[in-house]
Amino acid sequence: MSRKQNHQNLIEQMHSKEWRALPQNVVLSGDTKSGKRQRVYEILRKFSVALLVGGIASLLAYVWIDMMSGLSDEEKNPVAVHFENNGGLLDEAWFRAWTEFDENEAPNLHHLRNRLLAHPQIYAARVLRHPDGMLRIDVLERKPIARLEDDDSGVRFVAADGVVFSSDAWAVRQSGLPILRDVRLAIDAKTGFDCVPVMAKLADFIETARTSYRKLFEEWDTISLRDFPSDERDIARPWSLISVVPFAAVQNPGHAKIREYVFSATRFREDLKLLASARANGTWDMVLSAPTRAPAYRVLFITNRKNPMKEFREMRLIPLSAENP
Amino acid sequence: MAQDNILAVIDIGSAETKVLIVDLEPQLQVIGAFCAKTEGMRKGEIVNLGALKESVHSAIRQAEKMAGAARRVRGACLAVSGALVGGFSVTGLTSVKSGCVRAEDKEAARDDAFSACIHRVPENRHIVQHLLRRYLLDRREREEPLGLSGKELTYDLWVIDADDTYLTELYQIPNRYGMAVRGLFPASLASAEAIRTFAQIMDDNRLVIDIGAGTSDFVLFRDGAVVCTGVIPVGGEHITNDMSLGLQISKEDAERLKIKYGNAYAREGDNVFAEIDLDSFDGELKGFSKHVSRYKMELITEVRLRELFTLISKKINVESAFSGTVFLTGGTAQMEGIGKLASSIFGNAEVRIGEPSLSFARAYAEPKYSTVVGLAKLYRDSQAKSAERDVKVGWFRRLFREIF
Repeated sequence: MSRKQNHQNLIEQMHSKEWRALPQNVVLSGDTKSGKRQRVYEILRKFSVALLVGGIASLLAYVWIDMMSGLSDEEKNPVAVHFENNGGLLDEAWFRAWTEFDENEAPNLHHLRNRLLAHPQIYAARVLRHPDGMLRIDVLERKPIARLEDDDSGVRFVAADGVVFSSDAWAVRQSGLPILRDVRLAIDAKTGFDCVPVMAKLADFIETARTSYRKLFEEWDTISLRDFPSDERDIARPWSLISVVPFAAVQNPGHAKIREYVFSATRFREDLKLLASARANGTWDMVLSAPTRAPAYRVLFITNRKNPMKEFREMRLIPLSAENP
Repeated sequence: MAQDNILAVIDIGSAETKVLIVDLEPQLQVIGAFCAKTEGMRKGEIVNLGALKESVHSAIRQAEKMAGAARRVRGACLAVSGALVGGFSVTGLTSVKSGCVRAEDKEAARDDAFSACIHRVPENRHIVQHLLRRYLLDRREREEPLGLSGKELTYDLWVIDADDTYLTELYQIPNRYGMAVRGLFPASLASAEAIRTFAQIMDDNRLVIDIGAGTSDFVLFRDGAVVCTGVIPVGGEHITNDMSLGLQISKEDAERLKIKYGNAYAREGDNVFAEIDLDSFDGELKGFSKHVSRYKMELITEVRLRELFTLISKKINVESAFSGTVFLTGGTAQMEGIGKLASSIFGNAEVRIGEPSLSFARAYAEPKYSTVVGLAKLYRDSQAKSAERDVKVGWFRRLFREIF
């Protein structure tokens, strides 16, 4: 045996006596009790996460499939419409006519709503599509508080926000509304419709008279806006007045001699109260029935400022000549 | 997925198991670490393998989690220590025929040493590491004999071996976790490697003593080379036991007392009558009132440590004075006064407390981490050496060697 072979044998023998020569039994899975427990926990955790994700995915898939099948059914079945007018006068037939609604086509909700809002009588509209395919329309209508009578466009109505609109349904029902004269119409900045400017104050006046002084209100025929400002900033001026012309004698139990009431645009509440109290305590009839009096009167309300510390409103009867009232 | 460049470095001590998860490439760095109480090991011996495995596995798992490498570490590096680890010296002898030492002569001397080593290692033991101590040329010490003239060349080898049963049981711990043992080093060498700082210290004579909980490992270097290694089955636990018996207190109280008031050098004088009230100690000990003598406690500690140092000095054959530096490391090395005591026993030698100072483990600069940090360094160095050897021997030469 050569020296090299001896050396090799020696090295091999040395290796066989080293620690590396001892057999190792490596368990690749790391199979200890706690390791097993750990793995089971990990598997359970992963499984529960997968279950959760799978559940969410299947729910979304179900909703999607249901929605798609609903949409495909729509193409076959006509769209059902539920119209809710919230106490208004417009109905489903009006909706179909106004929007030219085709129930065999998938509705464009945005366009439908815009079309509804294009009618001046509609104040607000909500268009919804239910999961079952039904179309739900909710509208809030404008209600008239006065009328406009023009020779060319006939009778139109004025809502509390000043918007002027035409309506056949209201024409039948609300013929007793006061008529506005001498109106200078403007364009509403928000809606683009015709409107009566500074209508908020006028609506307040009409509503106060209608609700608190019903008897007085029922005698009124027309309200003239001749001296009523068209700018909000001028409302507090002394010449801002609301002129009311009552009905003729037959329809007017108040008194046939009165041709016009002129109320202050800002202090009309005091004026109405003054008038109502005069009518109630009998002085009104006594004064007007006196034989020496003029044939017709204009009733004017002014502020008595003789005592600056104690000013008050007072009513004046302005006599009018019979020829030129 | 397993990553070969990641390694678990495990130091299974009697009291604590320290695990470092290190990344070997491109630079050695610690990516995860955990320290946990060891179960099933007493005074350096495995007494309950199941419990030991569970506790070590738990520590490995925590370290892996910290490293973000759960179930991906497939290699482990371990330290061996305890009564079942031994060391002996063998020499190989060859005659220098040409009168001038050549490479063949060195190889022949080494082969002779290996042959003697094989015959000397018992059947039931395996070699953990063998280290060249020195060359003797005509009985004169030589660092590198190549080219020198002489007639007789001696190869002096220090062999560290361990019992097969102990090694098999030790292997089971990482094996059952799915890790193969890739590195095995004596704890004493690992500790010495961790606290080695400067080149001049390496050249000096030095004695490194790693005082653990159950055992104390030591290694003696002379002129930078290992002279001998050994394990003394005395550690911090023995001190605790002695205190428990001597002061008539529970082991838990004794351990707390040792950590808080332990002093390795008993101080006489005023301290003789000083007492520690256990009732108010840490606010934890309730139910009884007891005072222990501080001097008595220190005396017990000193006696035990004195015995330990005396045993080591006998093992390394230092009768009078040790002309070098003594490094104390390990958990018990943090005790107050231990340096003074060691110095008195080792002939007033310079005594230092060794802490790991390697750059990759700055966060673990405590004596108790010496072994685990040194293990990582030793493994890295051994890998680098084997890689270097592979590069040096080219494929042509290897083929030639295979044929002839």
